[in-house]
Amino acid sequence: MVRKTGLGLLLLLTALLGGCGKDTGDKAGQPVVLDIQEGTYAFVRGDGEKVGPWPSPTPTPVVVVTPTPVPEPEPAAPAQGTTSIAVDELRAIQYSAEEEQKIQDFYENTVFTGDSVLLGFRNYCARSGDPLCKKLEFLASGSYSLHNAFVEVGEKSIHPLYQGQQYPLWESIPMMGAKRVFLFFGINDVSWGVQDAINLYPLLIERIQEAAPGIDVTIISATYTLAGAGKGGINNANLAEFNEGVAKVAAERGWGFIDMANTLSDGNGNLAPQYCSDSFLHETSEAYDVWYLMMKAYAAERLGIR
Amino acid sequence: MKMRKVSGWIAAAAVCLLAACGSEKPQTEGAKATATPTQQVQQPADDAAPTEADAVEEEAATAQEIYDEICAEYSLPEMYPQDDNGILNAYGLDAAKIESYVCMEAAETRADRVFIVMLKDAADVADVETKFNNVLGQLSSQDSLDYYPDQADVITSASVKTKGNTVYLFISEYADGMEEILLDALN
Repeated sequence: MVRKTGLGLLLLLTALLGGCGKDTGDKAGQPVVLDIQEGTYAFVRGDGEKVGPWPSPTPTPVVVVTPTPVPEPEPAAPAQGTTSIAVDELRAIQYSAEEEQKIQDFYENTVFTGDSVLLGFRNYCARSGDPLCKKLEFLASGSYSLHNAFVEVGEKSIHPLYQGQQYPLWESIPMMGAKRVFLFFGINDVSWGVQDAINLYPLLIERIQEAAPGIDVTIISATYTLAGAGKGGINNANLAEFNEGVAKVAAERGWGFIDMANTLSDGNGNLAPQYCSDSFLHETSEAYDVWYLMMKAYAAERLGIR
Repeated sequence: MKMRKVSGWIAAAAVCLLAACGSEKPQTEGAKATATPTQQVQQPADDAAPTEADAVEEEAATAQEIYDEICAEYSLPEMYPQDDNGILNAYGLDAAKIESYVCMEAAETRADRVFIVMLKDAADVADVETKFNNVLGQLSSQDSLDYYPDQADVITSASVKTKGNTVYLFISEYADGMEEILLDALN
């Protein structure tokens, strides 16, 4: 349920104009007044345009594929606190064949959702023959954000496609039958205000949880930019502040939180050079090797293996 | 500017088209593939003249073969494949209804797409066309165009097209050339 913000949370945002790579600090956009009404997810933009609530689109009949029966996954402990593991440690962890299978089973019916950096992980998995990689499902779009996750489906939306159509996450995630969701947001949000972005995360998750009761939630911290490569509001100070705030919310709500940012950092709060593919913030295959190891370690932790 | 590479089998294709073999499709294997335009193409072992039935039995180009030719012709950015599960989840395409397909997406910082889907039944063409138009629609939103500023023109000039039971979408600076290759392969 969306919390009413009538006690004073009116947020001034610049117009939702761009995503990664945009120097939003220099952009003269229209102010956006964020006024979240209780019971709805409505944004009223400064130009008067209403963003939500909206009627759900009539679902297109989805292609039903008879699923292959899978064993019930090993029961996992609830998420607790932040998972933060150094790269060297990740690389040193060894799993038995039985443990590997349990980890794969952990990721049954799991969807990852987020922005272009997560799209990179999707592409990494698409090329991998690893059975765990093949198991993961993705709902990711370039420039996706906590803000535009609430935009009504239409010409202006960039929701990830599911079965050929755009749906808000709280529709597509249940349609996929997901039991676990991993969220990677923030990079495209911090420009509009770090605290605003922190506040939006639980709103989105609550909306997903309403539609998919009992879904297990894990947040992956927003990763950093290369040192000195920040653009406007997309900078490492904002990202670090965002991650700290979100980690607290996750701890309060019992959601998992994976500190990918510092695992991939250079030790000084920047994306390490060997993990950066474009001199900005997108990541290399070497970085996604680390993501892969982190996902295994996180599952092992939840399963009590590690 | 197109970066053309000399392709041995294109030369062979020219030979086969010139030769009196009755085939409508360039050969890609054996002696015929290496024949030069001035050489006589070898006849089949039984010396029987090729007939229309022989031509009909030849398999049409698959989506992968067309994509391979595209890759041989143009230097594409790093592209990532979608498998049966991927095309179902992302695009709602049922692999059971497809003769052959290639659905390639560029890395996350680029909008390039090479989608070629050859359907078994013409009745499914319209549905796939709609779904590919949704892909293009998502990429055509202002947020996406702002995200891919160097490719905004490429995205807005792209369109979903059909040829028989084949539905295709090329989002690329080489889209026109890709279409030529596809249409040549399908004719």
